[in-house]
Amino acid sequence: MSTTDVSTSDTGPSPDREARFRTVYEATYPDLLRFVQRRVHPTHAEDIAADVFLVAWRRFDDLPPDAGDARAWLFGIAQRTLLNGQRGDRRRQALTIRIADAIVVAQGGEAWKESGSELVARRLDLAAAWSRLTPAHQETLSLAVWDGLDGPQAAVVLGISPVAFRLRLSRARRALRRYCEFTPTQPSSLPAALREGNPS
Amino acid sequence: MTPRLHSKDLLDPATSDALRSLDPANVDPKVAVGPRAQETLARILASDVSEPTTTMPVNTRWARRPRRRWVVAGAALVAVGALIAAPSVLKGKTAVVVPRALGGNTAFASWSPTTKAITPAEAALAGKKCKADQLEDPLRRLQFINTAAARKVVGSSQVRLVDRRGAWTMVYLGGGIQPGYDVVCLKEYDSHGAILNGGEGFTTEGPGLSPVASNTVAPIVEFGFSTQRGATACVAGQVGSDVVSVVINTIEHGPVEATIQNGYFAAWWPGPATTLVTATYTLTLKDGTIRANIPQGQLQPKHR
Repeated sequence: MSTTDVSTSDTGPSPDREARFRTVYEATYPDLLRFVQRRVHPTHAEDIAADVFLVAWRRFDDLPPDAGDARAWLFGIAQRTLLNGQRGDRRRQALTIRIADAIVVAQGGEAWKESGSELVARRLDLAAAWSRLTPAHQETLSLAVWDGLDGPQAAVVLGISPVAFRLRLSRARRALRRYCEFTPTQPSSLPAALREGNPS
Repeated sequence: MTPRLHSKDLLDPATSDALRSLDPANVDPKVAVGPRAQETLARILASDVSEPTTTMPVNTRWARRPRRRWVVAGAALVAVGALIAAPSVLKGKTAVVVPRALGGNTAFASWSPTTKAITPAEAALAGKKCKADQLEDPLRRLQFINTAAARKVVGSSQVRLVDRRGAWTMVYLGGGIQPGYDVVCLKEYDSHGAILNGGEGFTTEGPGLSPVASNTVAPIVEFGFSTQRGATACVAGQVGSDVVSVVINTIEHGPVEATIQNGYFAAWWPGPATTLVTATYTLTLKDGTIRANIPQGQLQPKHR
């Protein structure tokens, strides 16, 4: 990727360029807003999304042609924007990712009625374990599970190599499993799948 | 070969499903066609793309990296280059737009459109902190320059200006051995001098300095910071020798007085970077002449 400037003409952006940007904007805005909402207070999310798309508009020529890659590219801009904003008195290289309140989710969802206490317990364990993960592990799992990115795309977001992302994801998964196993609450409700294998 | 994720890299399906259900994000799938998102889109499309962006790019291919890039490696701010307000955007809007970032909340309660006095000692301390921040992790920031070189770049930079508004202090650094090195630190301090919030942005690819006409200003950097208290828009640049006052007319907050020091000016306000697009400038000259409501496109352009 180069740092070449957005190509322009004397008459400004072409209608076609605007139309293409509009398409990308409307296709990716909800996902980008979700990405940002997980990382900041929801009242700030729209402003940050606007900043991200402004950068994207000015760098539109750099936008990857593949829709999935374009989405990851936008997430990458958002990630860097947020990291910069969070560097107050302490530097961070990863963003803390919120997780939903497991009890609220359980009580409000249909799954509560269908699956009963096992699923609720699994969620409670996961939520408790999540809070013990490092921000780097949280964002790694978040990109894979919530954003549905593949390895290379997630690596773009974090500014690391795909190999490094895969290693990080593997560690994050092991850490989540370990914390679920050692979560003091609801020890009998650990998901069977998380008990399998050999935790590192 | 690009590695793809294998099943063993992922969580088991049951855990993935449970985790997926705990996603805290709550967004209407049709939000993009809603009035707020469409208003944002219109503002973005109305911005001028004739100026190059200076924001750090996101690498889409790990192995191919530019040699020179934003200093904030891996943590770039939103920077929008020189934004020029389109006249069509300005018309009819200045009188009707309601403040967004400040309206109804206290996130930037101490911010004011006028500047607050700062003692030389306080300014020196703020400048020192801003510089220290840049030196804290130069390798991460300057991925393509070794630590010693990074320290030289940062160490040789100079505090050009310090601006205070309420509890917020903005420092503008630049110059030194790398002409295109520009830094803006924006920090909120508590009454004991501890940093509560803020951020910083910088580039090694700034336009550098050139002579500026005596009756105008030349924006050099325009940053959109996304702080934990919300978004802020910042501008800093050179000021002509005859200019004694710079007021930036914003749609959201009305006139914002810029600080002028050492031949530079700077100002910031709460709001997203898009608010930089519609700002105009009112300059007062030594002889009393007032140059009112100058669109950014008619200011001296950023130097190349």
